[in-house]
Amino acid sequence: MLDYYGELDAADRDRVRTHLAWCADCQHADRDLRVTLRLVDVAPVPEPSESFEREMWARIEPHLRVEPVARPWTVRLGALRLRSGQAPGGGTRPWTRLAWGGGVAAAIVLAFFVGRAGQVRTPDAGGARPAAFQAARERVLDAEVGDHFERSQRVLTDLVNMESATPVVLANDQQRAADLVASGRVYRRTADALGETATSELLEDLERVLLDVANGSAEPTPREIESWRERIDQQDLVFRLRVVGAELRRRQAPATPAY
Amino acid sequence: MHESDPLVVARARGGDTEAFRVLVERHSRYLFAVAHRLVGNVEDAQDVVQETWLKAHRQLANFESRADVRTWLTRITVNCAIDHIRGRRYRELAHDPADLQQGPLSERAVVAAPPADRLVFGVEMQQQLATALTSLTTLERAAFMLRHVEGLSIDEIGNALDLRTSATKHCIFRAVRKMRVALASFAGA
Repeated sequence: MLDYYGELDAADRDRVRTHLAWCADCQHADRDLRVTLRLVDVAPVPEPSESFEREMWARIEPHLRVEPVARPWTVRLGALRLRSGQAPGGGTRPWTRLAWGGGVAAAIVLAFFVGRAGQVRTPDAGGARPAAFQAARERVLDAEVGDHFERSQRVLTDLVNMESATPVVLANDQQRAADLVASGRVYRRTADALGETATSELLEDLERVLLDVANGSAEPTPREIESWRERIDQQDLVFRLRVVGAELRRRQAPATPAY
Repeated sequence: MHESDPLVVARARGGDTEAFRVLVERHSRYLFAVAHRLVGNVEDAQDVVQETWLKAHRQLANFESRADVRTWLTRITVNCAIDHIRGRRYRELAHDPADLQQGPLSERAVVAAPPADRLVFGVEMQQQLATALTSLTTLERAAFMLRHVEGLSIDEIGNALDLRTSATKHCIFRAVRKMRVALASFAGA
């Protein structure tokens, strides 16, 4: 299969093909595999109804009131809060009860979008904006994301250290996780907007785990807990949160005067 | 007159909602097919397409005018489908180590294949194929389709689905193995 998809390195590919050249059984299996995979190409997909496009538009149109470009920062902020917990179909996901957390985060990062919205309206304004203003905006993000990482670290540490042999109830942790997902998404957008790639990637990795915890069972099985632990360990999430959090704190510290 | 996609996108970026509607009408059906291959059912595929459009609308400003609109939308759809799958709790099925140690292929008929002489290519084969695909777990289906249809590498799929490389390979192996069993009659014909 890996050969079919071109996933083998040269040495393995040669080995597989040499073997195929003389082994009749494997030739047969290889032929079956290729035929099967070609059959998949014609897998049927149900045809949606004739009114599918109209129905789709009806589902999304109510959410498109905000223009995507050059809109005032007040509208952008409102849109951010709306999107934090929006479910397809206009409903809300279970954790939207804490969408206010995302809203608060949106309010905190308002400063960035004030700047960005200003740039959209007057393209030259960004260049003329004092560097100190930009630096101040970035410091606000650093402080808020640093705090977000600290709170996330506490949730993950609790999970990692949880006693999986005894029954646990995660309701409070799930609420914390849901809150962090909502605010983390806002921070991630801001980090993206500012080109803070490393922070954004960490926020994304963090969000995946927190989302699973928030959407998971309130009384997880030992296996579920173990699965979360594995993911946290595999991605070195706690360690990365510490490292990036420390870096953010370092950046916030006032520069030592040169004299 | 048929306006080209880049021009429609340019209008949509300027806040023209009607232009965005044109995009929705042009591409929704195709995106539904992409989403359905990955998530495996109509309702989820519709949700994925809806989420795709909402995300596309938010990201219009980032769209590069040189890029192909459908390719851009397809990428968003794949990402939305992956997020959708992550939100579902089928992962443990695909992680079951016992599944990796099951017996030989011949003993693992996941879908009972009708005798070959009763089958003809065409509608019946497509039905069998559809049944075979439904026998895959959500994760197996997503991993397999991302590899087979979307052409993502094993590493890319692993990153997308939060799986280690070995787990990703096993996931696709299991999917292919089930497909082979289910389609044995056709593959041998």
